Amino acid sequence: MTLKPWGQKLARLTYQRREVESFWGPLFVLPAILLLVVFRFYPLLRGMGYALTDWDGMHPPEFVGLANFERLLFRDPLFHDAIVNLFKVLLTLPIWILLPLILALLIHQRVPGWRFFRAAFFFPYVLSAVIVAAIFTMVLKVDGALNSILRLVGLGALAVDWLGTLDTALPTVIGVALWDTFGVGVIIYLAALATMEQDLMDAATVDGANWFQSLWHVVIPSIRPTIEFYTVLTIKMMLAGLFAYIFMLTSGGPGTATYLPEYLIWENMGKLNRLGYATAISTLVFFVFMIVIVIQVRWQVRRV
Amino acid sequence: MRNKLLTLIGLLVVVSMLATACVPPPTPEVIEKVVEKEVVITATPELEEELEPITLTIWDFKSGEEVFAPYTRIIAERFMEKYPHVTVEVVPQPHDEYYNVVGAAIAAGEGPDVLLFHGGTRLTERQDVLLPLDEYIGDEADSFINLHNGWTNTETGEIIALPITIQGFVYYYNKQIYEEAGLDPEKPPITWDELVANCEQIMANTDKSCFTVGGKDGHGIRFYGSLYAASIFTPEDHARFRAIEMPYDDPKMAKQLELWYEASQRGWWQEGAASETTYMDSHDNFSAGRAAHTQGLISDVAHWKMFSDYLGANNVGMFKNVVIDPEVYDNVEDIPIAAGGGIGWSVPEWTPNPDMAVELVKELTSPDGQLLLFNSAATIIPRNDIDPDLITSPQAKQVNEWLKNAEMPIFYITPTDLNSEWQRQSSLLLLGEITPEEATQAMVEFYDAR
Repeated sequence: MTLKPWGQKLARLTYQRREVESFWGPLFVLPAILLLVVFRFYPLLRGMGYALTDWDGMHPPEFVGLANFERLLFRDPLFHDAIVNLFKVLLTLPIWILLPLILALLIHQRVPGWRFFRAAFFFPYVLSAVIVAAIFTMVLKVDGALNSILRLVGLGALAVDWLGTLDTALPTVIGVALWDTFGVGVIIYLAALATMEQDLMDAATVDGANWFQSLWHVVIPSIRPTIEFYTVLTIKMMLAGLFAYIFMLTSGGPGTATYLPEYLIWENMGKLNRLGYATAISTLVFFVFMIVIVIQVRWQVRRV
Repeated sequence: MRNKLLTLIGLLVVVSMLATACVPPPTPEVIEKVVEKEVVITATPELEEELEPITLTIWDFKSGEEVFAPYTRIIAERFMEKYPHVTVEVVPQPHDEYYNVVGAAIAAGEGPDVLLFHGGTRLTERQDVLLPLDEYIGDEADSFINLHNGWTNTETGEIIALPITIQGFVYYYNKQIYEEAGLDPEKPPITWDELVANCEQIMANTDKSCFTVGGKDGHGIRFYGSLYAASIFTPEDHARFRAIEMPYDDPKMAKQLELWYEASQRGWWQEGAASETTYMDSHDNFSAGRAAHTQGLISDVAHWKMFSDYLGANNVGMFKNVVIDPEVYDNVEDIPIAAGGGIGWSVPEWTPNPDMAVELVKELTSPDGQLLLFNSAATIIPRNDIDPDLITSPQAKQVNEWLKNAEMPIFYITPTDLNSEWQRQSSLLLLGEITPEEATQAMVEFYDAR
């Protein structure tokens, strides 16, 4: 009973504090929201608006409704080829995710030379994609270093024009991009592994788990959020990070073998002056990526 | 509540997109008004003393090249001496990305005061933002060769750029390889059949490829196709092509793809041609003596001067074309050289100083300027008031002689999207993945779907 006045006082103070917070809180957040609206959302929406126009950048845009999307979805074989190629790229996602994970595990377990490998794996990521692609253009030529080595070790039958053959061009571009970027995955995984409880690994070892069992039952569950995060980063890379490699290595060819939506965006915008159409492709790619992110986040939230 | 919020956000997105679509960006009309207003206060040379300092910015894709840089630098210096209130800034842009950069400037409605363009489609596709030069240059237009062939607005006929080179395509061959193959180095082929026979002999007797080509960047088919077309098109065909009245299933368009396919199937190209570029893989191959022939340019790069520098002038031969269809031309001398276009300077309408920008263009294209460029880059000069005795190179003289009968290369007047599809189909033909008939069909479908 004696506590009641104190309780009332506390409740009144809490109420007042909430009132104050509900007034000042949004005000403090307002600058950040304004920055986002002015520099992110407005340009994004304004850009998307051009997807509904026929615009060559020289004349005023002409409103065409959904005509660009209709053409993209039903009448543009180049876009269809680019989408098929994109799916082929997405099929390689497990390699992009698992390769750095396995290498990070080996480094984490201090295999001989782990310090060297840690630096060596990350080094290509520091280089510009253009430089990496330029180097590989030389390496992958018919008379380049790769084919010379293959011939030297008696595998001359495998020596092909890696970037100029329909079957090998896209896998080669993917391989170069993977080589260039997997190092950052290794570093991200290493950071996650550093926070993993060693007791769990020790317990698994005591229980007689082998390397793969430890990986599957202990390591992957422990760093799952990091794997999911890296998966999103990689998908983003696949959707919008391969342009420099395509531009430098194959120019989209042979035929349409290495066309991806982002290359098509560049071609329509820069070469063909079709800014409205290019924006329509960008908008589609944006929404595809948004859907992937939403699925990913919802899945993550549900699991937590 | 959450659903309502999502619906509200969705509505906002749709409304904003629609609203944005209806809001025009800065239009050329608006820019014109600004320019008109500025013209009043723009300098004229007579009033120089009272003039406010101005800066003229030049964008080009050539000043990064060693042989080209002195030309723009020296002209800029001379211009600044002549007009002390003007500062000229030369901004070299990357060649591959040039039209993207220009496209961004056009979309923004602002950018440099003077732009370098390739003559033909790459200029005329942007003609609506370029200043007509007729009234600025007056009678001086008569001093330029074929100005109305690639340098004028296709709708109004007004001059929109002044050229500094004439560009075109010819065949080059390596006389040493001819000798090695047992061929007469002084007797280039004059018919397609002779070319076929020569190639067979070269491939049989040497380890060199008969031709070198770039299959990756699409210039291969564009350049070789232009040579094929020059040989099989009548003047009426050229007129039809210019008027965009020659469909891709026309026998003469299909023939170009057949010839390209035949060359590929005969194994004329170097190994790895599909992944090599014309600039400069293909031309480097020829310069290094790895191929007996190549298609090359007539001016400033990948031409007689460059190849002679590498192989020795005595080892480089050139021929204008070969007879492919005797019913069209049965004498190789009658075939017009595939030449026109080149590169030239223009002034965008957004410049606040159009008078001085045009003055700068006139300086850049003056006889002195052209000779400066000729001496450093060995260009073919598109002016008729140059003393012919100043041109001493026998190859340059030969090209000038050939230019008396020229037809615009079809590549220069083909819309860019069709050139891109031409490129894609050519790379598949080069690999033997499709037949010429399939490539022709694909071109027709692409054209119809535009």
